[in-house]
Amino acid sequence: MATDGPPKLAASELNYYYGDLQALRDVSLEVQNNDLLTIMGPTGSGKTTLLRAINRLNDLLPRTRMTGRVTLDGLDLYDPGADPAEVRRRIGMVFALPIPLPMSVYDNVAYGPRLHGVTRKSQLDETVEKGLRDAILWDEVKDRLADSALRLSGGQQQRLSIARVLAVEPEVILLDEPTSGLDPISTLRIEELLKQLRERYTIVLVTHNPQQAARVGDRVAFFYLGELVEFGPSQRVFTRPRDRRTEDYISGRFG
Amino acid sequence: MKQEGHVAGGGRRVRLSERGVERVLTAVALSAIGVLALITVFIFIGGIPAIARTGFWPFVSGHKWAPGRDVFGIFPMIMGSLWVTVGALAIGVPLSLACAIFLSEVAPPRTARVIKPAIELLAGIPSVIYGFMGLVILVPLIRNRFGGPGFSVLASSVVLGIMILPTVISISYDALKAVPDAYRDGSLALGATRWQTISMVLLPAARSGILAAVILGMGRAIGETMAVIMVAGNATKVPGSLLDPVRTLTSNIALEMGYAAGMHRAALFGTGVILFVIIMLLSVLASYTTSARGKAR
Repeated sequence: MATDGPPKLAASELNYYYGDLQALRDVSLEVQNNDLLTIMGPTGSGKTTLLRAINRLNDLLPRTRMTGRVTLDGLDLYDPGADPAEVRRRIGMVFALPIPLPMSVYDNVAYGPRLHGVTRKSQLDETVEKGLRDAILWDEVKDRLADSALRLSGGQQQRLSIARVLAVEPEVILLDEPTSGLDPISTLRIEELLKQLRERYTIVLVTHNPQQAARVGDRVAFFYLGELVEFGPSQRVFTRPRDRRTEDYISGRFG
Repeated sequence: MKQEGHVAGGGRRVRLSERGVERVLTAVALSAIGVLALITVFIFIGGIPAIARTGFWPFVSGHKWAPGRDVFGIFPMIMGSLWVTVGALAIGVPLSLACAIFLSEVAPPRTARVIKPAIELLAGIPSVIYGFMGLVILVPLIRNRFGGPGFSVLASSVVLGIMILPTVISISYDALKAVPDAYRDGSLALGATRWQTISMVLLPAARSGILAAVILGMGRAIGETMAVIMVAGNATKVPGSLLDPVRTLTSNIALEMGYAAGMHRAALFGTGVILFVIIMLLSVLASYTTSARGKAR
């Protein structure tokens, strides 16, 4: 569980615009090391935008504008000297729809390490196995590593996406509604996996499902229309929400 | 009961008109194949006598083309077509790929919206204009810079390389654009640079489309006649270097058909037969490689 200290990851006074549309309004948020933060909120509340701003994945989008700071270990990720590719390696991301790259299971997991210069077969083998084991997928795919990743089931594809992220040894993992396209059993598997992973990683999980936030998060942040409405330990937010909108949301009155 | 009968009757009417449409479409499709078959038969009937009299092997491997003495060897033209096609691809494909990657992955959308139609406009320029530009600019330039007559493999390759740009660019651009954004995000999110993403994910994902683009470009290069005649020099000799003049299979037909008669005419048809076979082999090879790669995935 998180202790107070310098935050691992912090956003301060973040504003984000797509053209004229403001997607984030003055968002300030801190995540401690090895904390699992869940971000919940209805569609269009800026959750995904926040994740994509944190790992600079929105850099390439035309006509967007950002103000404010995002820091990892106190270092500004948008510093002119910061390399966006390195930022994205340190801050891995798992998307809502599982997206295996159009290659084999093995190559999917080996893709990241290869990018970062690992070429020795034995070392790649080891990394791939470890990634798949950590993502609790190894036993299901160890005999079909050469198969196209597109043939795996949805839940397996999503765990493969996680294995792929783990293989580049990130410090922070962002997950954008990773279970939104999955059945309840696959969802449960992913949640179990997250509970294991938080021992070693700092995790930010975006979900549109307040129950999921309650189940897995140490802390929870509630976003509404680009604004951070409430932020605190899950226990407290779910039992004694301070804001009316949070209460309405978690009791299912909208969302 | 009555109602049911009515419905059934309507069904029969629909089925009848459905079948009518099907028949018409089938007939149209078959007639397209029919045209292809007729052309094939026509070319073969015209060309076989010359090939038969010369002998297949002497015909395709003979170095001497002397219609006046009834000596027909088209090896120089086969080599000519090969050289200029390979040359055109060597010049055109890298340029096209770079351009397609730029348009699809690097250029701001607004820039791409201006450049793409401009490139497609290139396809609308008549080939004789390309030939003319080659004749007045490229040929003298090559003659003065590198020596030789200027009319050469090099000149033809450059002209053809430019002519295949619009085809190869727009098809490979479409192939790259068709790669889901999720692949880009997925790769970038693992810390890949933009170039790593392009070379390791996007190009492999788009490869069958890109291969199709190259094959269509190659088809255009082999088949182009007018522009090549104007800059190639058309000597019936196997080119020894890039600066030597060259005659392609298509040029051979176009240059001499106007006055050919008898066995000479048949030999030109025979040239057409060989061209036809080469193109068929290429397209079979192409579809084989695409499907084999598709399976490997």
